[in-house]
Amino acid sequence: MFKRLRGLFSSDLSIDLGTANTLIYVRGRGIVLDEPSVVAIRQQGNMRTVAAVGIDAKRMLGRTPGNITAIRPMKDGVIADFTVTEQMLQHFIRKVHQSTFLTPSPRVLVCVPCMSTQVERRAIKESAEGAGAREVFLIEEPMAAAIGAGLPVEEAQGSMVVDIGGGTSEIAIISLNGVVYSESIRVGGDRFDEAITAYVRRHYGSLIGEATAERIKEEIGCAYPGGELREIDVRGRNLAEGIPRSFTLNSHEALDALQETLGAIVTAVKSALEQSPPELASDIAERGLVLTGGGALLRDLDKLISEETGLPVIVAEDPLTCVARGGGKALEMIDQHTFELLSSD
Amino acid sequence: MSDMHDNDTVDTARQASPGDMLRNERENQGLSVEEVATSLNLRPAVVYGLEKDDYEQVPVAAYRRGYLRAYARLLGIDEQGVLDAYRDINGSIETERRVTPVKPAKQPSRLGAWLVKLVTLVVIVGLAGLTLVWWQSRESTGLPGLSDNEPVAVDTLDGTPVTEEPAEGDTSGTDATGANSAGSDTAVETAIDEEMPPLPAEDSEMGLTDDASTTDAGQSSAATAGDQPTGGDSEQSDVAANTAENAAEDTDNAAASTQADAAGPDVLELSFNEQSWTEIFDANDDRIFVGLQSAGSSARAEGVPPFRLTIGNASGVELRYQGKPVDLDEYAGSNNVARFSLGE
Repeated sequence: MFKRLRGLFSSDLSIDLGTANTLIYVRGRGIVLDEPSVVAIRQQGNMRTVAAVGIDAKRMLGRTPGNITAIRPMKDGVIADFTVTEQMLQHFIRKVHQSTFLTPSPRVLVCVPCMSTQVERRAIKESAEGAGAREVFLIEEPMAAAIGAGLPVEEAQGSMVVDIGGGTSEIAIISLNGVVYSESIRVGGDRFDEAITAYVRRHYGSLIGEATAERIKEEIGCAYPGGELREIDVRGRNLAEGIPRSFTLNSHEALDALQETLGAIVTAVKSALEQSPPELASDIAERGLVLTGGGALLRDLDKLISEETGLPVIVAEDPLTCVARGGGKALEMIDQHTFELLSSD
Repeated sequence: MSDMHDNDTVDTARQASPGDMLRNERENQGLSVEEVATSLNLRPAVVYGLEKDDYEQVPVAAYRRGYLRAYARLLGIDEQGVLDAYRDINGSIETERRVTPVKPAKQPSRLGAWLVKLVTLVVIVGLAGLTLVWWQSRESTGLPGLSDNEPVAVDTLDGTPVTEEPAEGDTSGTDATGANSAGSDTAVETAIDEEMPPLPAEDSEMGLTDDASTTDAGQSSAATAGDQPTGGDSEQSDVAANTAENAAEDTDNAAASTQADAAGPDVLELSFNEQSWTEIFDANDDRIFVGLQSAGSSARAEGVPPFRLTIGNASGVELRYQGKPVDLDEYAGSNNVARFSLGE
């Protein structure tokens, strides 16, 4: 009952609990939080306390002393560390409620990967409840992404959405508020980073950290040859000499590094098209597919998929926030009793 | 090429429709609609439609904007410029909620939050306490006082209910005490006040009723001396009845207490020879009498004994309790104010 009372002082939230970033959309206020899903834990004897969450914790990644560990509690789109996820969510939920008068107890809609198991969904739900949510709804990520991209999900027409997140890529064909076909592959932005790290180690004999790999991906990464050539200076530890060295990477090398990972995504898209019912396939051929998620920001990824599939490919506007925004719109529809959007747990 | 493009955008950015911008640029680059359609994997009709700002082929706004951006990117012109132009024309129809920029909320201060919580808790507890106190005080004052003049119904053992009216006027309260000795089957009925006709008193399981005259004088005087009827003290009743010592244990207590209850509240009579301030509380702490009485007046108060009395100018007041005069002089202090209790 007390939760209900506190609920009066809380706003409804839509949370995109991603492997790389957590976004929170508040009804009526838009996206209010976009922070990395990283928690820094300080170990003091047997006490484990949260040292930092979000951006602050991400800065610590790979730079922590012995008593602090920076953890990414989400892995492949699902919870890897339950308690840390709960604390992170609690921190974020508090952060978006300016009022400190009462501990907030909002209604929360959380996005889950469409191929996640019952156990993983239950874990996310309980984690959100543990973080103080009054009521938790789950929605499948591609559905939220499609709503956020402005696709006509409620119409009797096939819409295809490819959501490339940090840990997973979700491919779904949606019609009449339902997912007709969905596929989730554990390939995403993190895998891009790993591919770049592996490439640099192999070709330059140097080790680079996660953050550097991500910077390389953002600045020179591309998915299709033929664009302008870009270069970046990076520093890493040379494995042979054991001392930090500086070297230059260009976009062709980045493309080379990403080739295999991109191939996995293209294969999954093609497989989804193969599996789709013919009527929906014809709708998709007519209108094309939509890319969302942080991976959609990879340069010329739309061109690659368009070339490979022969379909029009468009990148959603503001692809990073699509899922959270879509979740927010779904949350508004909850009050209109459009429950079919929501996934059962 | 870029010169042309620059001039174009400068000249036409504001007024040009997105279709014009795209078509001009395409013609500058010497591309045909079919070539563009092939690279975008769109039908040529759609590309024509985009250039003519005719979106019949693309009913969904999200796809429209996506195609425009893809087209602009293909031609290498500023996609935001094209989108802005599109929005200028169509924006109002399909306004979407704009995404507000990320605004990190400031870290709540833990101490402040705790302080606020603590203060709130204290205030709430205080309010609850006050409410409780108020409620209880209201309950105690709201208790219905025992009204002294209500008839008292008595169920007698022989089954005939009798209602006793408390005595009115000058007559003092009467007291009928019956005690029954089970062994002897005698019923004793005592009337205390000689001026009063004896009230009917019922007792005994046999239904026998005896007149006061049947009792001997000794019994009567014994009852007068020792009886405190409303106290319901059955021992005293037994003594008053002067029954056999062993029979006292067998006394029908029920009958005795019924009789005692029936006696009703006691009456205090005051007559003031001089002016006096008087206050009387009864056993329930009800103030049954208070006030400044002028000389020559008299007053009467009823209540449940014992009484607490405060009588000013005690030498000028005569008090009668149960018809007997009470000597105030022995209670009066040096200031001639009597403070004492009666009927204990």
